Amino acid sequence: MTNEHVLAVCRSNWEYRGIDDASVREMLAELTAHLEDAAAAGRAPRDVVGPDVKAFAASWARARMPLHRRALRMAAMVPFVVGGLLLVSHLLHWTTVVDIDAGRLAFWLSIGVVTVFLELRKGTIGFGKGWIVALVVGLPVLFLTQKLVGEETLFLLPLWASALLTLPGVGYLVAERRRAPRPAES
Amino acid sequence: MHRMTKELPTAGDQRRSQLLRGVLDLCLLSLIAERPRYGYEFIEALTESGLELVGEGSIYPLLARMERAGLVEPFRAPSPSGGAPRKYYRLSEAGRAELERGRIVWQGFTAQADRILTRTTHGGTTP
Repeated sequence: MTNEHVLAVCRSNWEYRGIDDASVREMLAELTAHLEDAAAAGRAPRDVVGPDVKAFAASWARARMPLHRRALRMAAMVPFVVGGLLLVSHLLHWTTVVDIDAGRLAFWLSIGVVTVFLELRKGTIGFGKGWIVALVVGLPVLFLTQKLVGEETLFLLPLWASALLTLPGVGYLVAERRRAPRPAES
Repeated sequence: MHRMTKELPTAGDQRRSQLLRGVLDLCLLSLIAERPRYGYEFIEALTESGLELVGEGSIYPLLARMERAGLVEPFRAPSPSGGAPRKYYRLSEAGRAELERGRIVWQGFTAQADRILTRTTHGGTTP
């Protein structure tokens, strides 16, 4: 068991458990420093993390971000992403309202449900896999719904509503930033 | 000189380890009450006091829980030994109050346990 092995297992476990990138970096920095100090004192990585690295990583991840906090993060971030994409749609069409039809609604709902499910089970899926979810899940659902229900506009979403959707995520990100460790006050 | 290499744990070591785990949060709070510390400094201080943890990294989940509970406040500062800035922990007001409450509980508990254990130290009591 080497320091590199311990850090790689921890990183993979924390990402798998949906710990956000900033927290993963911070935890890795803390663990790296500890492993280096322990090595300088003649102690092995096993003395630091115990015989089961995965159990150690999981225990830290649960303490850092329990399931209810991960669910809260999802609840804030999914509308944030949807709101952000809707704002892009407003911008691209240079309009203050976006037509929402059943297909588009089903598209976003299906992507949201699958993303939440995957992130809670498997950890952060990231940008690349997010596109794969959109292509593999969202698009078939969009076309199927449009075929079954038609493309009639259900309602018009105003610009302020799209902006409103981003607010919980903005609030969450601000709170997360405030929670991050600050430099020492002199 | 304290033992820095790990040997096979005896039954006594296991009991000490279990006892330490039960009071580790208070020990960490008490160490931070002296001065802000970073992760490895807790281990050094515990070892100097003759308390060794099996799996010293287990302080991190505990520190994370205490941070979430608002008992400790993290901040970044340069390490005295140089290198990258460390994540230090200092005591919050809630942490200070928790430490005081914990101390009272611990002292009461150890006094009660001690009374029972010393009763049978020299050959036991007669029925």
